[in-house]
Amino acid sequence: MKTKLPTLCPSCESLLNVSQLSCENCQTVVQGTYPLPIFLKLSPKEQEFILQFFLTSGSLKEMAAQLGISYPTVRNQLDDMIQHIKDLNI
Amino acid sequence: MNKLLQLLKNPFAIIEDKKLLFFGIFSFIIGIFLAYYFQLQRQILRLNILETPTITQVIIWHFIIVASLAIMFFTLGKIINRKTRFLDILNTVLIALIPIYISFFQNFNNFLTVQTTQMLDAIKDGSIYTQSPPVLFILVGFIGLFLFIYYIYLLFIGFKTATNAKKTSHYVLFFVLLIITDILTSGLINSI
Repeated sequence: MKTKLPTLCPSCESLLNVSQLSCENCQTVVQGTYPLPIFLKLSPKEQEFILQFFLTSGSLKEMAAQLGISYPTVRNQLDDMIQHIKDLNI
Repeated sequence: MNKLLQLLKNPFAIIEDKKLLFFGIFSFIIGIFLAYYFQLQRQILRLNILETPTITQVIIWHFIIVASLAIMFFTLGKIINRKTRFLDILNTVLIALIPIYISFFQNFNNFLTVQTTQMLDAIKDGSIYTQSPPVLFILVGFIGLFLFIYYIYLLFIGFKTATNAKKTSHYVLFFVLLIITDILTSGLINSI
């Protein structure tokens, strides 16, 4: 079963931090508090969008054709995502 | 079924811009002939019954409506979002007018002309208070109203998709601009 990395606290829905990393080879464990990378803070739908954007070499027209939606809809999704990432950085 | 509902809800979100433009221009041409055939003068927010409009008059009126709406909404769109494309706004106007072209069938067999004339006469001689309008007239009226609301809805949803407008102030500006454009073009259309 492919497990999904939880990014939100199930109790209060705040963003989670990474507090432990371990090496499968030598069992070394690193502890601390590390924020999640921005990509992981995005929703699965947004992550998929970024992946598609990358695979189509950034062509919104090609993405629109592949997703079966119109160009302005893809552009709006991109703009919303840019705003979301800007908000996350703040 | 789901696809059809999605299409009726927001065709601008799923149909490719070139296809929209093709359907829009095609329906625009059909709409001109329907308006001429049914002797109707379409304005942005109203519909007038005319005696004998010429085909040239009808073509000019329709060009004025499409051009004025497209230019006004494109200007507002550019203010809201600089990435707004003229093509998306033009498609919005052309496609939104399709329900209006369908509503031209209200005047099939001069139905609207006859009923409106009878109603105006009834208002003049005061008999409007004693007689009830025919059921068919009420039904046609409701269908016309529904098509008009759908036309405004398509204009709004198309504008929203083209500009990514999300704020209430944007929506208010859209409706204010729609009314202003109607008032401005009304004088121009009536002078032709």
